[in-house]
Amino acid sequence: MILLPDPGAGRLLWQLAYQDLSPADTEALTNHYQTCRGPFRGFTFIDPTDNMFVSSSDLTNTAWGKSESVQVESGQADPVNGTGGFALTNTGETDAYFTQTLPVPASYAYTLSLYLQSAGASIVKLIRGGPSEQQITTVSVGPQWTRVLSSGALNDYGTSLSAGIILSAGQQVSAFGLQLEAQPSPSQYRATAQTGGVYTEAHWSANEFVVVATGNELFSTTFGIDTAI
Amino acid sequence: MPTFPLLSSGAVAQYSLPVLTGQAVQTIRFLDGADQRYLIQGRTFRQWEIRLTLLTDSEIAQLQTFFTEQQGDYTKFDFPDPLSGQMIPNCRLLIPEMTCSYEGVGASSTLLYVTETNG
Repeated sequence: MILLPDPGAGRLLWQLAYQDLSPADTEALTNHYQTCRGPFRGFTFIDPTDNMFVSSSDLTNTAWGKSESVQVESGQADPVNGTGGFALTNTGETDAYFTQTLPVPASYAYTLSLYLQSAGASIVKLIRGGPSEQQITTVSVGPQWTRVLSSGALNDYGTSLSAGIILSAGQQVSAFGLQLEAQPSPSQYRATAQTGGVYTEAHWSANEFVVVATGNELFSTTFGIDTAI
Repeated sequence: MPTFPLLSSGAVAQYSLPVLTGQAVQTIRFLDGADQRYLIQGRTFRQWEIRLTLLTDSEIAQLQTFFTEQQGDYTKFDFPDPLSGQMIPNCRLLIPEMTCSYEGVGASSTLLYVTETNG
């Protein structure tokens, strides 16, 4: 549900329903509700229906961090017969990074996915990294657009995650549809503009949190989370 | 302090069992989308919805006796939490009435709400 009562005062509300939860899952949700004191304290919420990256449709946006030697050129052909692709070129003589850093727990399971194309056969590194651990996945790309991905959980309990690609010296690729999701496999690409799917000031929406024991060690619950947008 | 009665099986409740965790918070929302929040309850409290069916005559009588002794929602008692197994002190019945349905021989039902309090 999206409510837009006044400019600048919109709210986004998620209604989440869970069935057949284990006691551990139920306890984790209940503890989180109690730690937040219900709707009193805010917390970071990752929208399970959205792309976590900010400005995935504009790789020239300052939300993206890049090495000085990386040049970004918009208006390139993309895999959906449009011109939403971007040419990424490393003009330097060492590896260069093109990533985005988000304020989310590094230890969750994430999937980074994107479409890549290069003039000839090429190897590209995908990176997911927290403050103390990184995972680098090597993928092959060629003249055909290929959706590549890097997935997994880091053994890193930091509170930020960087994800993106590493270009080798002189390498040029076309990129489209960068997407990061807090799940073990990718879903369909969703373009984002000024906001991504990470909300750092979400709140429980109700003064009550109800868990129903439906059977032996089986629980269900329905609750709301809201945030200003 | 008295204790909430157990069924003949030793159980406190039957499935399905809703348990509510409550924390009253007042939120004042401003036109620019900002908000101010404050607690209007000192701590979180739990509530249990005890919906019981197919009770024997002795079980429903035991619950009625307990309700009468508690004077409805007036008196505190210890409640054995069916989920954690812990004894929760300072609980009360939430509403001062108890409806019993006698649906057959050895097949009565009732509904009670138990809430945790500060004591």
